[in-house]
Amino acid sequence: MAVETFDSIKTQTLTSSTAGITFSDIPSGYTHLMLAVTAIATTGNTDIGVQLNGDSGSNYHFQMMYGNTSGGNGTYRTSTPTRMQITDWSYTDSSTFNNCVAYFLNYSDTNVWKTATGKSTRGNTGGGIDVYQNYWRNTNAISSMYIFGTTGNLNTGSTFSLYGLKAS
Amino acid sequence: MALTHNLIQTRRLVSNQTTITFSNIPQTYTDLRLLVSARSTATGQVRRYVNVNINSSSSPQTYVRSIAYSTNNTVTDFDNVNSNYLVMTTDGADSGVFGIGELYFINYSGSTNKAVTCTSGALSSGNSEHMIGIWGATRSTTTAITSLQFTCEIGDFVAGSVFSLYGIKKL
Repeated sequence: MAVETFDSIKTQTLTSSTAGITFSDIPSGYTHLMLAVTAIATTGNTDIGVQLNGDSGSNYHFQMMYGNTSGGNGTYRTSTPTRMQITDWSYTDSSTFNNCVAYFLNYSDTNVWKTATGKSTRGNTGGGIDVYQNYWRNTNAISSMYIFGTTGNLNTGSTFSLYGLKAS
Repeated sequence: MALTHNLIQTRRLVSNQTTITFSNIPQTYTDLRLLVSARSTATGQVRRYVNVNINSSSSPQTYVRSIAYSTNNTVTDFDNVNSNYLVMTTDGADSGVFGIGELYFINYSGSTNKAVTCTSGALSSGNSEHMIGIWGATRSTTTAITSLQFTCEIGDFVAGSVFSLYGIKKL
C-alpha cells in the first residue's frame, strides 16, 4: 500500500519583522528534510542563513553558483563560514518576496557530516536563480534550525516551512 | 486524502556496493523524484560522476545540457551527448562528506522522450575540484522508464550511501 512520505513538520509565517526563526525539536523519524522559504527583507537585501543545533562556529562550508540580470553569472565558495547559506539574494530589494528550497539529506544519520543542497530564485530587477551546496562539519543529528537574514531582518509575511521525507 | 508524494523504494547501503538498481518501477505516477547521498571508494580526485542507466540500456541516446556547473570558482556552460550529470564525493574528499543530488524524471511513463533535471554537488574544503551544477538531460526513447541503475564512474558506492526514489502524482 502506498504510504504518504511527505509530511509537514512545521510552518511559521512572520507577523512582525525579526532577525530569524528557530525550528526546534525536529523529529528524527524521517530520512530527509526539505525546507521551503519565501522571504523578504525589511530593508535592502539579505541572504538566508541556516545554523544547525545552535552551532554558530566556523564549522560550515558552502559553494554557491548564481546567474542574475544584475550581477551576471558566477560562483563563490567559503570554507569556514559560521552558517549554511541557502540563497544568493544580494541583488534583490525589500519589495519582492524571493523563494528557495533546500534538502537536508540523511539529517539524522550520525555517521556523516550533514549536507544541504537546493535552489533559490529572485524576483524584481535583479532576478535570477542560484544553486548551492553546504555541509556542516558535524555528525550529530539535526534537531534544530535557526533560519535568519545574514545581513538584515526578515519582514512580515516571510514564511518558513519544514517537511519530512520518509524513506522507509 | 489523496497521496501525492509516495516512497517507491529506498536503498541505504550497509556495505560497499557496485550497483544500485530500482527495478519494476510502478507506472502509476506522473513523475519520479530521486534523492541521492553518495560517496565513492575512488581515490584521488575529490568528486566523480554517477552513471545513470535507464532501462538497463547504456546505448548512446542521452543528450545532456548543463545550464552551468562550477569547478575551481568558474562557471562553465556545457552540452554533449552521452555525458553524466550526477556527482558524488570520493575517498579523496573530506571524511564524512557525501555528494548530494536531486533528480526529477518528468512524465517518465509517457510515450515522449524522457527528460530529467538534476541539481547535484560534491564539495571538499580547500579543494578546487568540487562541483555543483544544474543539468538537464533528454533520452530519446519513447519507452516508459521501468528501471534505473546507478554505478560509480570509478570505484564502488560506500556504505552509508542512500538512494530514495519517490513517485509524484498529479491530482
